[in-house]
Amino acid sequence: MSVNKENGSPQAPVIKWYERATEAPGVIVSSRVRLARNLAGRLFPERLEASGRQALRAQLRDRLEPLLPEPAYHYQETDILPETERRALRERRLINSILASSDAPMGIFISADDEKSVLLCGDDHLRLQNTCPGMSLQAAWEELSDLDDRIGEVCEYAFDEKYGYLTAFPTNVGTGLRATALLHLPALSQDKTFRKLISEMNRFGLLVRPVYGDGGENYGSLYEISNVKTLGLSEGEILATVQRMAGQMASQEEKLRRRLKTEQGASREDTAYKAYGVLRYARTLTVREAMEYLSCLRAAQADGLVKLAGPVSLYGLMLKVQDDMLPGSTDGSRGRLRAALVRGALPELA
Amino acid sequence: MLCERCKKREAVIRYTEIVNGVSSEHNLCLACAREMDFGPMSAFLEDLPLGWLLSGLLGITSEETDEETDAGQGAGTRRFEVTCPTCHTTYSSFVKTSRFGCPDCYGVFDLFIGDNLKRIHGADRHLGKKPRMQAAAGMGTPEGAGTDSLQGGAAGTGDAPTDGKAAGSRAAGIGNGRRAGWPAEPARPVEEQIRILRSKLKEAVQDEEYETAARLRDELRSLEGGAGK
Repeated sequence: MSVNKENGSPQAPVIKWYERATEAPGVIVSSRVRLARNLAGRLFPERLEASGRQALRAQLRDRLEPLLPEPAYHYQETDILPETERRALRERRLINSILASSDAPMGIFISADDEKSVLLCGDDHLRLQNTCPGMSLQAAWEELSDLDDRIGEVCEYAFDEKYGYLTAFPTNVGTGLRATALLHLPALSQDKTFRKLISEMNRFGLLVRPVYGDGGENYGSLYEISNVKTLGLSEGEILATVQRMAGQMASQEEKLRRRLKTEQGASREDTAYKAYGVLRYARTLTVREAMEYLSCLRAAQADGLVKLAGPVSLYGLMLKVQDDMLPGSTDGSRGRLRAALVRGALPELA
Repeated sequence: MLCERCKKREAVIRYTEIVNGVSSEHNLCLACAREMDFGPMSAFLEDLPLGWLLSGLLGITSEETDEETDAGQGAGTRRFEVTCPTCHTTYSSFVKTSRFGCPDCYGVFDLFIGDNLKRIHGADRHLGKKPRMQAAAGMGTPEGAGTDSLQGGAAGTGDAPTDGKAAGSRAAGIGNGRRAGWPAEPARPVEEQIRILRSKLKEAVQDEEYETAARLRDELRSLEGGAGK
């Protein structure tokens, strides 16, 4: 626990963005923006020897620390973390899965609420990210762009008039911006039009992909929609396209849920209460069970079919029940920890 | 290394010609390579779909196989490799990994990717924000371009244009930055830096980009001065 420097009293831990509870969780769970940036005149991190990469990381850290000070931000070097903790960073969407399995020298500044982060020496020299709950791409972008400008004052970016911000992968070149909306689509994803809808999104240069699941299966009906194109579109156009299409998918989900509530209200209510019962009393839960019941309960809470007596972020629980977020070393021990975590967090019924 | 044909520009394409089992290596700049007749290989220089490149479906490896086979049989074949002079990323390694090694790669591989980025992004030209510091890069930071500076490019030379033109001249503008204060920079001997700068200076003069040439000249002087000491 951190201590307030002025009066020496302990400060309450900062609540992570995904732990913030809402009474009626929306279809759009969160909005995330990410910028890939590189330094002019420097080899990309992957081409640096370990010692060069460490030195670059140290220099970047020194430069960025005044902009990202403690205790608002925490700095962590990822190569000294056990792989389980790197995978937990991946679950929190702070690094990608390839970097999570890499022990190359990288560093990351993470804000106390997990919203903002700056990754040093990953695929690119810098990756700046901001995540906000709900549909708030524009607000997330404005904050991130401001941070980008301030970092740009102390680091000269590799920038080209024709190709824009130069990145290790040409798929990120131009704006370097990836805008992502996370959607909870339990009804729409079961609809026969869903597959067609996903391929329609490709026409707008967007990619829709399931967040959790093995192979073709999906647990929890969480989907990310993000831009593929980064070059030749302004940041505003990219954000507007993702926002518009995420909004359209969300309104279709809501429309479908209203119809299901009218047509199958009693059976949906029953399913939701059963899900609550399992989550509230089970002694062990697999990821799949936890995700499916939490997804069902989240939709029912949003639709007013189930009322909980206290605040809880069901999405936050969906994140925390993932294997890599639990300290257990075996499936059995994680199953018990998972069930205990959910039992402890779930309020009584209102 | 300078292009062996024009002897002016930096050679970025290395090709191996094998005739009757005798191998000879040639180094060319992009402009000369374009003018040369590579037979069916010319397609590599004209119109490569980046989608193929990125998926690694099309690469130099098939030519390497041909070379081995043909060399054994005494028949003639040619192989070429585009190489970034800054980070030594080869075209074939880009095909395999879909990633570049440094900002200069965009200038070197421009010929390959320029038109074809359109296939991924629907465009080949950046729109959107620009770094605020880009224009001021040559003016020095508030702390000056000191020994701890993260400023690359023309930082501290005081002669960078304020309209972002330096950033636009890719061939000469990227990756020739002063790297003051960076420890453990993958060691590039000063002699090699000087050689690259000289070649870029010639190219800038050739292209009548005198602002760039002046900046390169100053950088060259400062490097040569340092090397002399």
